[in-house]
Amino acid sequence: MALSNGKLASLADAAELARGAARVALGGWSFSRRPLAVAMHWAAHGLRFDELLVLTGGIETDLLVAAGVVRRVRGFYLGMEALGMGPGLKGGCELIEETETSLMLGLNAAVEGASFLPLSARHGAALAQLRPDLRALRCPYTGEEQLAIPPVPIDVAYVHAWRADRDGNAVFRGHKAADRLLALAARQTVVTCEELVDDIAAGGVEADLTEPLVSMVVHALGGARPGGCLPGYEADWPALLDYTALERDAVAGWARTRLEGGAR
Amino acid sequence: MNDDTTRSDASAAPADVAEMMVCTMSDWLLRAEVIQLGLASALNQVAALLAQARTHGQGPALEDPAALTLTRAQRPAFLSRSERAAQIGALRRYEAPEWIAQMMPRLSGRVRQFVRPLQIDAKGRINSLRVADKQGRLRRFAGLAGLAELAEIAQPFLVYLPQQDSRCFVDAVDFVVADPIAAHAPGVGHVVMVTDLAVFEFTSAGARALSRHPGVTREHLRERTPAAVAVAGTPLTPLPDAALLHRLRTEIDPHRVRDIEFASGAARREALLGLYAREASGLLP
Repeated sequence: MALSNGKLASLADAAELARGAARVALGGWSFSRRPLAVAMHWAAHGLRFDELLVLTGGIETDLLVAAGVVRRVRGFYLGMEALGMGPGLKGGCELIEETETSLMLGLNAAVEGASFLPLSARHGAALAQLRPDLRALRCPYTGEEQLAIPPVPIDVAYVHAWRADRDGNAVFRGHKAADRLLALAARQTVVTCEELVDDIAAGGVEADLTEPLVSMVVHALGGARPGGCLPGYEADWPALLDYTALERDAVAGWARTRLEGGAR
Repeated sequence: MNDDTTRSDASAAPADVAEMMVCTMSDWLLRAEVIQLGLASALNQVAALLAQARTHGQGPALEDPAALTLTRAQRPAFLSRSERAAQIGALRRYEAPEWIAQMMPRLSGRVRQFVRPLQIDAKGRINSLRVADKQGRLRRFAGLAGLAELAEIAQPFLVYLPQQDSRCFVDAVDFVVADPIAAHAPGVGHVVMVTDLAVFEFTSAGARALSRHPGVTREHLRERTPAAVAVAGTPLTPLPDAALLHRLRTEIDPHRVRDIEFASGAARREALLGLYAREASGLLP
């Protein structure tokens, strides 16, 4: 019996879910498992949405800023680490600053349906200066001063996995990042993957992300390049360094060339 | 903790600035229970791996953000291949929310990590977010990350500067991301900083140089150090001994990850490509 295609979709159809969205999240961490195929698709095709949420923002964030795909970025770390910054982040962009803890609280509040979760004020002194939208409160039990971190629900989350099946069960390998939390906080989640398999359980490892959380699956071989996706490939520093040397207005063309050339 | 490689003034081979810093930094990591390696912190990684090797794996465990693992495996330093290296002997791969929200708060007083800030001031306050350029415009850099929480749980709070100058070691930071002295009761907060020139200590009583590196004159140190920081009568930092240097060069950092943070401009690109090529030939599972 032929297998159903389940949630299998084209890169273009999956990328289209983000058009006009209020908040889109990209999974991965550092140069690991960033959904770069979809980010390059947006940059190459001029798709726009409002806010990009990342934990650590690297090349995927840089190129979306440079190509004008996103209006603002929310995260707690931006930059390409030892490689510096690319043309997007060098030029600056609108930012919603977070700390590691405040972003986890905001995502968890979205998952749990809470109107806020408290951050100890002593951990939020810098954040409160940068985020006048955050309200202060006093804990009714301990009297501790706190910041009320509101939920940050996500319209669409995109995560890149090593392996997935057509139903949306996925194995990450490498860095797990916060991709499961992103999917839990998202209305829809797209998994792009290196390997598309019939039965994820046949590989002998449990899925990191399971099918009830996933809306679409895209088979995108090399979909995290020029970043890495273990166990298949590691970050391509020469290509990443070439990217950092681009002018801002050359980024959309760079993305188009990589997509068309299959060089992702 | 069992450190069989001690420091002495009788060095058999000269150490360069990077080696001097890494060996000195590793001294401050020996007594940690957990060392966080941090993103983009090449010197911290090498120093942590050296500290772990000095204790034969019986000292600190390493939390490596390259794969968010906890490990006791002894291995060489890698930068471009850090995610694969971080999985060697991993006791667990954490999800980011688990490490950030659940593990880190449990590590109060037990964790150490050398942080490289944009700026540090004479009160030991840290800025990793933004600095003003010569025209007074603010330029944004890395971000807030988890430094406010780290300031509370890491004792001492450890800082390094590969190039100590008046732009990064200042009278007052442009923006306070973390204040490790104020995060503790009076008399408790403690910041230690290792730079290319010296070792400094910050407490609620003030800041002072603990030692200056060999070859650094008192005048040069004074010139590069805020006036509020005491530098008079500072002894010399002990040189790493020959065995420690040999171990660093041959076992811990054969690819010379430690040099990356000292390269800038066009030379930095070449240094990164050279490191990438050397690491590509390194054996990793």
